[in-house]
Amino acid sequence: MFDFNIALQSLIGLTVFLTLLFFFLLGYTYWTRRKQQYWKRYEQKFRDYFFSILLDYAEQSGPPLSADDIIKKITKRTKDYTFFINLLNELDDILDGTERKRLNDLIKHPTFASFYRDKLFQSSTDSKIYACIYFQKSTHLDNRVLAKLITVSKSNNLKLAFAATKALQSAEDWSIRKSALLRFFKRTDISELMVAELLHVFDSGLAEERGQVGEALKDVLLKKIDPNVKNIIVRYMGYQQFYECGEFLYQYLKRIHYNPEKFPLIRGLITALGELYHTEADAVIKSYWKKKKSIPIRLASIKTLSTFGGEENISFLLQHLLNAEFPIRKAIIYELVTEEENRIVLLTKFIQETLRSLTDIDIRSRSHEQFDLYLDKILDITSGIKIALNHRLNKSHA
Amino acid sequence: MKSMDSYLKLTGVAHNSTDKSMGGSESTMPKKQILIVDDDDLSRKLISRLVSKEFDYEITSKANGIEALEYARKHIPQLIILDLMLPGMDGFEILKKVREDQKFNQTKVVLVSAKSRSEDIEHGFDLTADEYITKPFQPKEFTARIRKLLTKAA
Amino acid sequence: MLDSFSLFNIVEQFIIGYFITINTVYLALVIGALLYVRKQMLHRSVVEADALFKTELFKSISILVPAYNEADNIVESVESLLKLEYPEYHIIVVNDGSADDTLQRIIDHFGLTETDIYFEEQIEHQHIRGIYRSPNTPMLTVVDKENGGKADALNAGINIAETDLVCSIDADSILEQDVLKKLIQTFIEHKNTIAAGGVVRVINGCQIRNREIKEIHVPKSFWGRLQSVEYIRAFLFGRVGWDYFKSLLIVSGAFGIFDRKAVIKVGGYLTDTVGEDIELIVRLHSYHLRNNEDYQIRFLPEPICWTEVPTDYKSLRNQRNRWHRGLADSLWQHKYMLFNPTYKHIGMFVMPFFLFFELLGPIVNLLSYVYLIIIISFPDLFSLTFILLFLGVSIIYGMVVSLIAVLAEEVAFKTYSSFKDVAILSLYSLLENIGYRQIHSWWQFKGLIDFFKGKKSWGKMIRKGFKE
Repeated sequence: MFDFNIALQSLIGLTVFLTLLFFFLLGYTYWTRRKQQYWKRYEQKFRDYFFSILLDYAEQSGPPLSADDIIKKITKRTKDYTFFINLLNELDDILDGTERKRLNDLIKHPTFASFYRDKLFQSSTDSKIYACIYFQKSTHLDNRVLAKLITVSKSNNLKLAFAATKALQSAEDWSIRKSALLRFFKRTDISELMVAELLHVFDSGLAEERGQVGEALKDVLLKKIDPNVKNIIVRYMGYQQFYECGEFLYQYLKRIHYNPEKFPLIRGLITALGELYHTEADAVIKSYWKKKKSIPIRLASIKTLSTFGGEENISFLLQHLLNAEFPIRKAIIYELVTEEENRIVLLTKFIQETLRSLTDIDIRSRSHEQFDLYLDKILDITSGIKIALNHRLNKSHA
Repeated sequence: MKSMDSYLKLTGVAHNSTDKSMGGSESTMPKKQILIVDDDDLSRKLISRLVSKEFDYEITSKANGIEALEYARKHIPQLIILDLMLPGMDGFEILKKVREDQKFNQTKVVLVSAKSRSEDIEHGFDLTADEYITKPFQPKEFTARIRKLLTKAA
Repeated sequence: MLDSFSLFNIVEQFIIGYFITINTVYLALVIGALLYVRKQMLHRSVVEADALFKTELFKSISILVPAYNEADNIVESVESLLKLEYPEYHIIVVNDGSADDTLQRIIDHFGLTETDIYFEEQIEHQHIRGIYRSPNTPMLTVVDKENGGKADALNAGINIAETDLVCSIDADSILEQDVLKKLIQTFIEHKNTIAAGGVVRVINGCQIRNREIKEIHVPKSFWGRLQSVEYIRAFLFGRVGWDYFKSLLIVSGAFGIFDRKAVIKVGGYLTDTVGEDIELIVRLHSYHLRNNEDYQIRFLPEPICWTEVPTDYKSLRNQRNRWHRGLADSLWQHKYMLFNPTYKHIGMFVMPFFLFFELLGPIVNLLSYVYLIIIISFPDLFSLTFILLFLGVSIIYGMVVSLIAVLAEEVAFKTYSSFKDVAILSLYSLLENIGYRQIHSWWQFKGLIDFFKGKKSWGKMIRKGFKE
């Protein structure tokens, strides 16, 4: 049985602890809120003060201050640097042109670079992450920083590796950027959204780098990485219109080793080829249609064949209208009805033919149920057409 | 605490001029007004600074859409610089309300937004915005466009 | 005599052991959650993903708003939903056969006209009477259907939606403007996320001016304040704790975001249960574990949604009764998962914990009080030792856990606007353990009984609305 003394002691102990906890909570709340208020006011003043100085500097109005002069005004508190960089980054989001360039040069000032380099070499994950975020904005990475970033980008901590890989994208050396990208894509724990984000950071959007980016992406596609990651890369190439990669993607689709794991990639390739208007691909796409019955792949094929256009492709789609599953039927109808007018003509012709064939059907040779099913399908298709036509009309009115 | 005090002293002038109206008491000849509506502190300050440097108008800034509209109805500003994403009521809605109201037939409206999607710009002009400026912007271009509008109005 | 004596012994040891276990688990959840939240908040900027939104490869979202007799709130709700920060999202309001003029008000306000959508009924729901849209607000679709309950309305919305993700909310939830941008971070951070929830908070007492939450205060009413403590302890740190162990079993019905295809794959919401939100999550776990598919169900420890809690005794009682019936039903429907190694940690640990501590907890709770009364009223059985121990491990220990939860909230979020609010909350976290918990157990116990009697109705809640 329980011992009375122990019971009493534990009760008293707990109560004392509770009381202490209670007062600690009140004290903690009071103190931290005061502190927070102080820092908030401090930050506000700090921002107000540097706001005018920075803008004068950016616009080159006011007293001619050099970057060094401004940075000398910052006290040596750690928080000041963070506040300053935050303010710069925020202004950077609003301003454009020469003003933005001047502010950017401030961000890259050696004082900050060395401040964040120290942070990068600290052991705490938080410091490393802050440093990575800083270096993502900076362009001049020295060798020590680069080497450390590469090590960090191999970290088991996914977020840290992600941050470091993004930071490495501001390296000048192209091969470092590319291998960082590839290293990250080889991981198994990354989400598809991370891939998309990283691709956008990798691709600077500069016209002179475009060829290089396309080549690099092709190269990555040939490596052994998760097909879902490849799917995102392919989609990116498609909607960013890497026309020069069209032939490559076409050959890729032709040769792809077919298994269900690669369904998303096949779908992505078909979509991308449509966006790149690589019309040669139509035969391969149609052969996929015949071979396999994956709905997502067929949906992508419909979109792409419709983009390619041409009577052959359109009648191919029409052929499959009657015997397709609902989502496919819907997609075909929308592609036929909401695009150019001659497709509607084709569609009407098709309906007329179907109706004519109805009269030819020997009712006795089919069971009632079969016939009902057939009629239901036609009914469903016509109502689909009606709705799609309505949408077309509404759109042209709006 | 020391360094904070030094910032306090240093910021005396620059700080006071931002969110408050600039000079000109209302009872005597009311100055022409510009209303800036943006929920981001820094954008509000920045625009306010750009505009106040160039034009001799009374400048007021608001962060909440509903408050902004209330203020505008009372003071009928010459120009409203409107952000699209706002708490309370978004820029499009304010613009629509302003255009429906006869009182505002002299008021010019500029939409400012981080959105650069063409349908947003189109929608803005459909609602008869006088100008559409996307963030980020170049300060010189920004003031030039505002100046064009204000001279047209005068 | 000796036999009965040892029986009492066993009972007492069981009761004490039970309370020590449950409170210790909660304490561990709260402390673990606090550490996790701190880390999470510091590293948030890594997954903020500005670049992603410049591509077309982010996920599109439909917000599903089931509305039943919401005429007073609906226009205001939709207006604020139209202002969320996200590059591409849709709003689908499903009028669930309201008896009032919910539908008409929304049609009039947005100038909607009837239209048709060509869609397939992939999951079953009641008949749709009409679909309304307007070219002026292309993001908004209103579906008018025959009454079938919240789950049924959500199913209709899931069918109509064409986006990657669907987000289910209550018509009276108030969302943070950047909720979608925040929640997508969960999908960025964790591969194969199929469902995610976030922190739901009590809006009673907050100051709303011009559609903006200006100041956050604790509610004025007694019941509201008790629930504020409860929301912090159980719904915030409790869930973050479970999330940490990848064992999240509940995503609040007031706000949840799901992969649309995954929900369709498991058949949508179950319409004849009162716990459709829990049941769906359990079914998603069950399906993916059974088929050995990779998946994650996560909780984002950030305040994203505000909800009005009942402030009168009766509504609160009915709500808790209903929640408990919902939990009972969800566990009952999926009882095959219990101690079944196919379902890994969910079957072996999480489900049993919910069964013994959450579902049957109230029975043990009440029985221990009965036992307490017995030994007090019979001088022969009187044992001061047990009473003191019981007081310690059930009430004082419970207070410690609640207080630490309030402290954790202050350390991590500092949500409340003033010191006074925190002081009130800490007082109520003590109060919560004397009286409220016991009554709560009673409500839950009644809920359990009602469940066995087969009662599935929702019970009414008197809404006050947020009109200023």
